[in-house]
Amino acid sequence: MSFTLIFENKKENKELDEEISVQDVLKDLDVSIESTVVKKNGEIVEEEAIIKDGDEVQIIQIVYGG
Amino acid sequence: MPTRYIGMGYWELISRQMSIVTKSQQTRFKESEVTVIGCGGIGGSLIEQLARMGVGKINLIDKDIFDLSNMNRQLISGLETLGKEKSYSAKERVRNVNPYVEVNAFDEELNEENVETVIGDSDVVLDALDNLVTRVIVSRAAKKLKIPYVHGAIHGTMGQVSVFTPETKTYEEMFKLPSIDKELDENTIKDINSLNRGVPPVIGPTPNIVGCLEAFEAFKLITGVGEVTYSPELLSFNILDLSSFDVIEL
Repeated sequence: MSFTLIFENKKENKELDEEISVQDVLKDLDVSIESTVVKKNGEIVEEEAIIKDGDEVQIIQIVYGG
Repeated sequence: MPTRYIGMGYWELISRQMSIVTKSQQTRFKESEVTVIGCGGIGGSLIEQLARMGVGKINLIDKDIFDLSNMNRQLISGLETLGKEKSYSAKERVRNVNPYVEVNAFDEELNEENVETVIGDSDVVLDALDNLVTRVIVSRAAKKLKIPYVHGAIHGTMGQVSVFTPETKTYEEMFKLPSIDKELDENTIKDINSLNRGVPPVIGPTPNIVGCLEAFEAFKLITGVGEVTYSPELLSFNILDLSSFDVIEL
């Protein structure tokens, strides 16, 4: 099982050994949920969303500085 | 200004852009009034581009003065403006690059009390801010007064731009801010501030790219040329990788 992760404009295939959530992926990347919008298969999802085999997860970073 | 330029000078100054817009479109820009909130990194380029493109009137507001740490990116900062008010220095810069632009500069902080006075008569309000609370104040006031709000923000080498109108998703909705539908009381402000605590890193090109892009979004809004990047579309980039420039829908 695997899913596609799109982060910082790089697309990669990630192995999926067990059920994981969007939150787990963000933690793994050391990215906070407050500074991102996550899309799963093109739809915006909350951090609790579960990632399944074949899903495409896109992490979009939001910035607040100036 | 040298007297030989008085008269037709405005049209000569902007003559090289006249194949991009028609005279009536440029006249719309010449007769427009915009407000830029902030005269720092984003604001420097934003104000300069609006002036050079020939906007009619700019209202500027910033409560800060220039210091040495501004000089890696803020175009209006330099040896001549160190220690001087950013708002008045920006006004002087505009006078230097396009004396036909009327400038109204406020050396004060934008807040809930003065926001409607500052942006009230504008055709477009532009965000050159460095904090979320003021962005929330500006975006709410712009929506209430039915003024398009051009947003830009940066962090390090990353930048983003989007345009909000009363018909689009709001700034707070688009970024799912904890302040949605809440009064801006002490607790809400604390919640918002927790999202941008600390001093973020920033390097020269990032705020200047955002400032140029925001200026041109305003130009498109006012003249009617081109496609505006309306919310929930967001232009996002990271200059560490130029292939990252993309418009995404949130």
